Amino acid sequence: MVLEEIEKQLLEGCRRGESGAFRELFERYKDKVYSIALRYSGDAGAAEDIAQDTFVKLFAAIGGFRGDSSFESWLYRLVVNSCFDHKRRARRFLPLLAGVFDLLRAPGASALDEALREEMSGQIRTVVDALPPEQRMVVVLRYTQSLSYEEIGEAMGCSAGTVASRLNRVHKTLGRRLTHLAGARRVSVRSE
Amino acid sequence: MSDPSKNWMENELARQLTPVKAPASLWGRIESARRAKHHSRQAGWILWPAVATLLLLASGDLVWEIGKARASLGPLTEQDLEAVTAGAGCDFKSTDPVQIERWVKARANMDVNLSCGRAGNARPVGASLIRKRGAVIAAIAYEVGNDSATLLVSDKHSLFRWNRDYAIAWSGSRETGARDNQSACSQCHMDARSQL
Repeated sequence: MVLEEIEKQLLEGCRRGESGAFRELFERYKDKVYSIALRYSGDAGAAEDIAQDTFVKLFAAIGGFRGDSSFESWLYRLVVNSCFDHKRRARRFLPLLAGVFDLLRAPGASALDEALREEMSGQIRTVVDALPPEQRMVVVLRYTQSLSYEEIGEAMGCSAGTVASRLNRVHKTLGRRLTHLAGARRVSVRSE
Repeated sequence: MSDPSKNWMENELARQLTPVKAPASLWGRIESARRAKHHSRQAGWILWPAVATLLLLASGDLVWEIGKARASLGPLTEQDLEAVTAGAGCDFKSTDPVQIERWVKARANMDVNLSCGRAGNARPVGASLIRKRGAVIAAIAYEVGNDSATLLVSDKHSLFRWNRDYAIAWSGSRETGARDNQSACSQCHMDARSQL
């Protein structure tokens, strides 16, 4: 309730053109916006461009925000649109899941286990990289921001059912690729 | 696919897609972009009267050019004919109609029939070629008694407002008229300017 009140005051300040309010709003949401942009684009430069576009649009259009939906939903919609716009402009993005191998190198893992982990992560990366923009965005919003299906649907202008079906499709695609590797990994773990 | 595999996959996705901190330079970029946008909007307001003025001038010029083009496409006025006659002179002097016909044919590839066989006091004295509105006009100078007249012949039918190939410009009374070659001949040979 207190948070809502602070946000309301911030939005009012932005509508009046107060630069302090803009800055505070930016500080509150910059990481969320940048994270989505980075995880979607896979490139830090592109992510900065997307985040910049999003905030410039946000500050220009904030006078028209009527509060029919929550501010966060509105912001997510702006980010999603900026990502899609940027994707259309840039055509090609660098791989989505940068630094995956470093993350997977857990200490104490056996050589075989590590190799399998790398292989599986590589498969995930390949599949996610090749996803159509809408499916990729569903994955990013789900796993980067932990949004519910309803929230994702609101941000992307589709129903929660569509979100569920898109995620399900992604899981199945990934599952098909990983089934044999996952089995091999379980065998490897058991044998240790 | 088994649940442990699915859990592993979901955990893996969540781990690889963790939120990150925005770079510190982001606010500076946004401020610059906002300032640039603001300036370009201001520049737009300054530029638009200039653009509107340019457009107005361009459209005025276009209307003027269209008017000019239309005028040049229309038939020659009586003043035009007089001006043509005044500047005609005589590039080829001859009183022989056949010689004049040949000269016009050779120079302008135009067939002019001056041998109407009528008796009278009109006789050719020479010819010249005039270029007007992209067309060639053969100007045949005549002496008609104490007066002089110029028979103008063009192969561009729309050049004379009577929509004929022939026109006559009289120097004395400044009357002009248009006829086919037969009536032009009869006008000169009869010296019947009153009928024009």
